[in-house]
Amino acid sequence: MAYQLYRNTTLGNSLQESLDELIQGSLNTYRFCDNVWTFVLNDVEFREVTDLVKVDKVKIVACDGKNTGSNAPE
Amino acid sequence: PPQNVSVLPLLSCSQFTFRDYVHVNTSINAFKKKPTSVVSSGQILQVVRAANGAQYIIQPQQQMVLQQQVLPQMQPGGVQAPVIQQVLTPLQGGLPQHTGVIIQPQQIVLTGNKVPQNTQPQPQAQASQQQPQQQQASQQPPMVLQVDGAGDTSSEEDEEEEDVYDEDEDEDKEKNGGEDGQVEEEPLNSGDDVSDEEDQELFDTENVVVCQYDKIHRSKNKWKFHLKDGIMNLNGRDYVFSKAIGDAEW
Repeated sequence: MAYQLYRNTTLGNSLQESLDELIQGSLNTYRFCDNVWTFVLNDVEFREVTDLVKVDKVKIVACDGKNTGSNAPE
Repeated sequence: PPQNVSVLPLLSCSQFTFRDYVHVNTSINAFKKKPTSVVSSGQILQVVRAANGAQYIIQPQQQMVLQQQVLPQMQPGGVQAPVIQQVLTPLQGGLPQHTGVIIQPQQIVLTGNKVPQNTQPQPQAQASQQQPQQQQASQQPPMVLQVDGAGDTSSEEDEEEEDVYDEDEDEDKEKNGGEDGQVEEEPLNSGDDVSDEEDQELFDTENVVVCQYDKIHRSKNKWKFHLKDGIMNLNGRDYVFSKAIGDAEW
């Protein structure tokens, strides 16, 4: 049972803000090996509801999140 | 006098003073047909020495062309001359030790040393084709007919010089590298590795995002990212997200 009581807290807001985060930039390189994506973006804008972070270069490593993401037994 | 060689009256005796018989180890087809004078390991040619020192080889048959044979004296890298050359082994106390014969059509040319004084007919002769060392103290040095051009020793010298030259080049390279630290060649070599260096630097960025992907989409050069459960470190600060959507052009 999960309560939604804490959503309007700082922590809750932060977590909610992290839900929708927009990434904009130019893709420099992309790599897909062993079901792992690796991207290198240039001039990327991480836009949140409240904050905006700009970086010249960022590396994104993403694993497959379909069915095999969960490690906990329960 | 020879034992098993037929006498051939091809030349008048007044012009020649001596006759020698040389045992030649060759594979001459013309002589194979001859019934006699076939030794176990070769042929026997009749050599006649003139008064002026010239020597002639009398062939039993009119076919003057001999088979071209590979001589050990020929340079391995040299071009085989089209001229047929046959080397005759000298006799003990008889013919000079180096005698080259160039058989041309309708003509027999014999080049060699001058005739030594002590000449005696020797039926036996050395079977080896290789020119043996001077056994007796011949008066004149042997003259070897060389068709492919003279360059035996010079080529070896050139090779040695080339090796030395290479070593010098290497030493120069090392010296230049130690003095300046960057020679003209080093920048050239490093210039070829620009792409590799860029890749290494490109992936050593501090801004890293580790997450999971739900879907990665591409349309031509338009990429779309659907990510989730991510932790980011941007400009030294940590961020987290449960879901992230991104667009980028490649």
